[in-house]
Amino acid sequence: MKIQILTWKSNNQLYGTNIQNCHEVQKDVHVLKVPHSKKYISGIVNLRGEILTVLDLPAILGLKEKANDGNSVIIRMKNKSKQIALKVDSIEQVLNITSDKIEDASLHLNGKELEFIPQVAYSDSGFILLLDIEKLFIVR
Amino acid sequence: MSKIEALLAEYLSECREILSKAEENVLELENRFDQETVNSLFRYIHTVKGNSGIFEFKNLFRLSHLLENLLGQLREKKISITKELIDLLLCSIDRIKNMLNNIAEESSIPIDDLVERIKNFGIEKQTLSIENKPTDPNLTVKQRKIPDEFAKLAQEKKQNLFVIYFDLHQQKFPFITDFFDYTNQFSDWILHKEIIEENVLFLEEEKEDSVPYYLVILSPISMNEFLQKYPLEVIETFSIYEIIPSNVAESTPQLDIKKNTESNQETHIKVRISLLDDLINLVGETIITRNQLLQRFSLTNDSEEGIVLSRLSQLITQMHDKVMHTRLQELNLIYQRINRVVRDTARTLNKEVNLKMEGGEVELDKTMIDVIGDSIIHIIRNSMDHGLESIEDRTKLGKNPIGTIRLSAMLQSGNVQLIIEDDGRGISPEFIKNSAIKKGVISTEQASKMSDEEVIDLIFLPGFSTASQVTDVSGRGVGMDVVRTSFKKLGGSVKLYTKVGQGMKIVASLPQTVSVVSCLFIKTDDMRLAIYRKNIIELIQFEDDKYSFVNNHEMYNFRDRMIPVVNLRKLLFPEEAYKRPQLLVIVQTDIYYYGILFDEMIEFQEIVVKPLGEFFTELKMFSGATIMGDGEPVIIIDVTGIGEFASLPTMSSIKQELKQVVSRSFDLNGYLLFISSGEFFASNSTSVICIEKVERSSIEYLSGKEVIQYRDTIIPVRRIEHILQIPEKESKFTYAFLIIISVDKEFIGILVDEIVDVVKEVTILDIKDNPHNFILGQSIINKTSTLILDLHKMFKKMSNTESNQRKISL
Repeated sequence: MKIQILTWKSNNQLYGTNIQNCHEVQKDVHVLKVPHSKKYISGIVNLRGEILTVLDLPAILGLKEKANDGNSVIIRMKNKSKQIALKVDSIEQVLNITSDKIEDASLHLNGKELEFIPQVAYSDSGFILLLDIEKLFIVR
Repeated sequence: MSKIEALLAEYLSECREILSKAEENVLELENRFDQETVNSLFRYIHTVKGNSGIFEFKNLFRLSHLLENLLGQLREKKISITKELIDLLLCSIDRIKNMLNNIAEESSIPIDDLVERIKNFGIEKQTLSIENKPTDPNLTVKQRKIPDEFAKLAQEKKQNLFVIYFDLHQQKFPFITDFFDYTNQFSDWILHKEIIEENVLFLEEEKEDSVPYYLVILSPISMNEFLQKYPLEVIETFSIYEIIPSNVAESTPQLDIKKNTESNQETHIKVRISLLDDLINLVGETIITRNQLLQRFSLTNDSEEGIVLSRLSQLITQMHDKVMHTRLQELNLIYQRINRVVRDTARTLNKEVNLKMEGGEVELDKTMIDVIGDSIIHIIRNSMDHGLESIEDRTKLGKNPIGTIRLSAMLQSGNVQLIIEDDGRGISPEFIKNSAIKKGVISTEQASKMSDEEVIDLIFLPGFSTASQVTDVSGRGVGMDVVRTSFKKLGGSVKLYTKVGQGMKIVASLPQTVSVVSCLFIKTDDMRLAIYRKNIIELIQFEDDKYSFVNNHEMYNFRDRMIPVVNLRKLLFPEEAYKRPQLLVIVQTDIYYYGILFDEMIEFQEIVVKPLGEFFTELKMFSGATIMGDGEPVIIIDVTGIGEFASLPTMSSIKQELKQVVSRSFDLNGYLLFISSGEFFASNSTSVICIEKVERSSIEYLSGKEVIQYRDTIIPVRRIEHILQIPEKESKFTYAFLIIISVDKEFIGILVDEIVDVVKEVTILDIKDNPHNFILGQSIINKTSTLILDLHKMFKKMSNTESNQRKISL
């Protein structure tokens, strides 16, 4: 069984998620920080007439959030009913991963990170943390 | 979606529509028999039956088939309209609705109870079948023979013939003579009246003192209308001959099908909602792109491009307006639902309610109608449950035993105004106060300070239900807090008015369309923000001397009114250094009236409002966002939200507080009276910013001069005694008062012993040979000689001429 994942880098760590949920990538967008908003929210962005909430992945995972410096790279992610944007450092490749290369993340991670990253994958490009994006849509 | 699924979806949608209309018909029939209504009801059920047959929904088919039979009998007048029949019809329609909503489990939804009832209905009534043929002899009504001349007469005169059975003793009249007086009102219509001598079986429980009686009435009005007009405690009624208003009586029902459907098809067309939504999104984006174009093209109307662009811009605005109107639907949609709810609720509560609904043709955006429908129903249920008193109580109070609930809608300058009022017992502020204290919502202390309006407003707090038991009718689910939030989210508002003993009125207003709004764009700390134009009262330049600090609130003197202000920069970016604001916008909502200080004004613009998203719902100070011409998002601030976030005093609390503040709400055209070192002084108060009570020990020395800490800075302390060169008298109190004025954009505190009062007018007597412009004169106030000063001038001079110690002789 093969799945296609879109990979990206955040804080020098490689992440990925099923490409079916990734609908768009935009480099160089200006994210507007909303005063008094939660730390893991980078801000809002205009994507073709729609206001999208941009989340800061490191902050969500409980790591240090990134300062909003200039323009950002975002990935627009969608599930059945909602959509958000994830702020990342850089977009990497689209990879085909076979199920034998995927394993349970509990062997490698714990705590908050494990909540969002249930699985990890091995690839030629390195060790990929597979994000469960459904968790992103939950407002905390 | 496969063909079958698509077909099923269409079937369900169609059936729902049909059932909705059928329910409407049934409710109409409850009030008035109308052949046409019965016919169309029959056709609706017939359609539902047919459709369900196609999909082999067996239960649905069976139920609708039996219902169709029942309606057939009604159509042919073999049975008549009674409360039980209406109940049965409504119950059946509900059951069918239920089956449609759970179509997958349709076969497991029981219908046997209804089947039984329908069957029994038919049978019972059939034994009393009265045919609408006037020539039929021996029309008997429970062993009473009604001569057929009566029926002939009815046919000739074209009037309604019916029989009413009742028990004389059960009527509301204390004496039989009163009853006969009562019947005199319609004596012309009484063909026959008779006391039934033998105790006939028709009385279910034969009571010893009952007097069975019947009237045969021939009247131009229908039996139902008659009974409404002349209410009697009837046991049974039988309609023998009924007049049908139009000439449809002659034609057979089937032929009418064409007539009805044709008229509907010409004026309206069904459109998928998703298609309309797409259309609206496209128009929204067109507007944004237009704005971008307009920005780049700062036009002069003479240029050719300018003219074309201007025209294009107009067309786009018009198009947007029309498209937004496609989503408008008549309020009648909810009115029907409400009708049903009121009827059912009245039955449950055993109350009589007269529901008046007006303005059903007023239109509202579809998304809004769904949302407010629930709110309106909640309010009405509340009125019926808690507002309206029971029938006995009302009669005791001399009120009409039938309570009135009035729902009216009106379009007023782009806003839909809904009024829901009842003539019940109203809401008592005392009751609410006590209930709130008991629930721990407010403390007894807080309660004592609240005005009646504020107390009533407590109803809108979450979890606040004063019902002593949460009744099934109105106690759960939607609460008044949800009602208010729903309306607020849609850009509207809800207000409650009440008079104890008289009733309650709720006024809710909503913008008609979720469309283009006008906003003011401002900048603070390089961030652009938008404020809804409808909140803005005025825009002014910030002037330092109008700004002051009273009791820990920042205030501004706006046209001789002290209003609270909030520094936007400080509020949004608390870590940033203080910067003097340039501009001030006065804003207003239901409960707030205040000013927002900011740096720059950009412009007014019409924009399309977009939701911020659920990640921001807790940030009450922001209410949405929009996209600017340059593609950048801009946040729209919520004036009420900012008021709450900054803990600004509300309009009513300001009035109260200012009374308590030491300086009071002094009239800025008045005079401040004070005492220092035993001498009485008065100063005009225009320059006074505020008065603070201070501890004398908090005065410090800096480079040999007296200073004190005031807000975030140190200000100099001055004494009048020094200027006037009068001896300082030691005060026995540890505290003193500081009159703070602003001189040359700096604050100075003038130390005095006591503040006496503020007076509006003072008669100033000139002092001979007065060399000083800061002494305005003298006066006798409260029998005491008082020196009138102009503090501003007094200390202004001193600031400039510090070194000049001028000797003053009085």
